[in-house]
Amino acid sequence: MTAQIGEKLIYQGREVAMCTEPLGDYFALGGESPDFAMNYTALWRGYVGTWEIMENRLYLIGLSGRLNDGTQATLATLFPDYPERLFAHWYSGTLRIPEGKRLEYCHAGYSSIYERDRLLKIEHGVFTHTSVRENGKASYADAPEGYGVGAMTVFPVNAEGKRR
Amino acid sequence: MTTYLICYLGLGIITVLTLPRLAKARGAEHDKGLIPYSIEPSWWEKTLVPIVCYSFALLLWPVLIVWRIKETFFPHETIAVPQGETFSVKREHLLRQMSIAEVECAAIVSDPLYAVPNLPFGHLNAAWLRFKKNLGSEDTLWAFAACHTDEWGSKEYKEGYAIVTTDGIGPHFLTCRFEND
Repeated sequence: MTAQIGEKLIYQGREVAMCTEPLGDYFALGGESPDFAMNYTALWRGYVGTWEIMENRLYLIGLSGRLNDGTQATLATLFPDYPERLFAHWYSGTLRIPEGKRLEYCHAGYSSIYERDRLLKIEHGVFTHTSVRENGKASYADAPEGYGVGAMTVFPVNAEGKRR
Repeated sequence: MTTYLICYLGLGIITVLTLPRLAKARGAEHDKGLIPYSIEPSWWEKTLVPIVCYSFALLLWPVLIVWRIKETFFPHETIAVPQGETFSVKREHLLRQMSIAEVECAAIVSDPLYAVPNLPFGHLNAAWLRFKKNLGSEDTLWAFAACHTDEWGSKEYKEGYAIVTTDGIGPHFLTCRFEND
């Protein structure tokens, strides 16, 4: 498995990478999932969602992906009646935001370890509290800062955007 | 012998310079903007990995051509993503019997920004309607809660509603799931 590209979260006015996939829970709870194309090993889910916490609620405000028929997937593709914003009431769990320098790179899922993890607790789409987990201090000054993926394989696609 | 070797390596250089670039360009040009940040390889990935890869490709370029032909004429099928162990509701998970009206009344979701439909289970209303179709005249509807360990060893808390038939527990509708800390 390859390290996965995170979701985007707008939190306290800035965009951060989030190592949690609330939309995955939506699909697991019975929400209809379009046929996302898996063109990158670093993006098995086939999309990147943009989330926002506003007035203590978790909202999905954007989606970028590609379907297996070659068309571009947006928020309107999944939720035609809510093309700009929808309340993620189905989600309960902890959003993980890695912060600081990278301590250890693991080329699988979201397993890389960073100096800190900011953990946002969400219950039925409502933000309840935040906590910070300290994982250690980077031993060298030029350790990479912020969440990232080291490498990935790109599957070739044809002119219509379909994987070959 | 030397002439053959030079020809072999020469063809290897041509193969190495053409085939991978074609594949990479096609893959990358259609999804600009999907990758939210640039991929930053480490120093050894920038130097050592290309040297090793290109050396192997130079020596074993016929394999590269066979691989390219395979990719062109026999493309990948959809890659299966591992699914967790199928969860089923058991008797001990059942909490209380409820009517459809009770469930639907409790499941209305509201939002100050009106970013959810005013229907039972909000954005999951269509899934609820599909589930409700399974409810027969003799069946009963029960709320349930369960802790489940999936095939990866993760413990998950799940809750929702299950249909209980005369033969046992039928289909269920999940309303909440999260990993136990």
